Amino acid sequence: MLKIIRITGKSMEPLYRDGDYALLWTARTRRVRPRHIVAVRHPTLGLIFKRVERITDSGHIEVRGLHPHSTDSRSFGALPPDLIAGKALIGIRARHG
Amino acid sequence: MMHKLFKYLDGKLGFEKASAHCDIPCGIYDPRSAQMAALTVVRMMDLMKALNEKSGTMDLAYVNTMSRYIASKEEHAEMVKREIRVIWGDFMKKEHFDKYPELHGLVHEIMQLGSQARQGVDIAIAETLLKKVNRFAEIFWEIKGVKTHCVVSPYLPERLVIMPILDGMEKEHLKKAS
Repeated sequence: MLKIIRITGKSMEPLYRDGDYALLWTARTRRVRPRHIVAVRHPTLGLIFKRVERITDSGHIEVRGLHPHSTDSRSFGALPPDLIAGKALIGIRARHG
Repeated sequence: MMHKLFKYLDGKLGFEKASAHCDIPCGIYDPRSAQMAALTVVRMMDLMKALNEKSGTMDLAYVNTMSRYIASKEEHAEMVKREIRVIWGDFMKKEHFDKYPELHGLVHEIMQLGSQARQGVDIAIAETLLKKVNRFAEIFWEIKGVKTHCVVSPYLPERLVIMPILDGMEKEHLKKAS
């Protein structure tokens, strides 16, 4: 039901930075809504961490990073909802700056 | 506090990593790898010429050495093209092309010269390739606001290269970090 993951990369800055942790809720993952932050098992990129931008008519999710250079649904398209590994409940952030 | 605890647990348990992936991992771009590759192309052509003049016969050792030079020339000419293409395609933006209208033409020339350097043994092609890559590096560092100077590579083939002047940058870095 709960899972802890470590964030790597910069695409969710400033909300999550490289090295932060997130507590995921891994049950009922199909109930995500836009603006939820999710971890998704992408077939080639592995476990990725993004924000849900939109749910398509077919129920697929479009995800986005917060950083302008993020690799997300703008390049790889919408993802089937069964790839969602969990929804972020809280972030455990390192002190920055 | 919480983060420290999680970090400790991570060290013990090894939490799964989730990538907040960026197209550009940390924005690391540096044309010096392209310049080193271009220098290698020049060097390989020098070595090929020297071996050809020295060897009287085409024995096994000659073929082996010459093949290795050719393979290295191929690889490094392609590396020049790849490194330049990445900086041009990923790092450079419209505002840079507006400021430096020569950029597209320059990159295209580098692509053509890179291929010609692979195909042939004309040292003039390799020299021109290096010159164009140097100009590309000069523009790159100008965009980054880093001063450059022209130096001779401290190894063979001892050709001129444009290098960034990074002295004093650590002081600025420390000032920002403090």
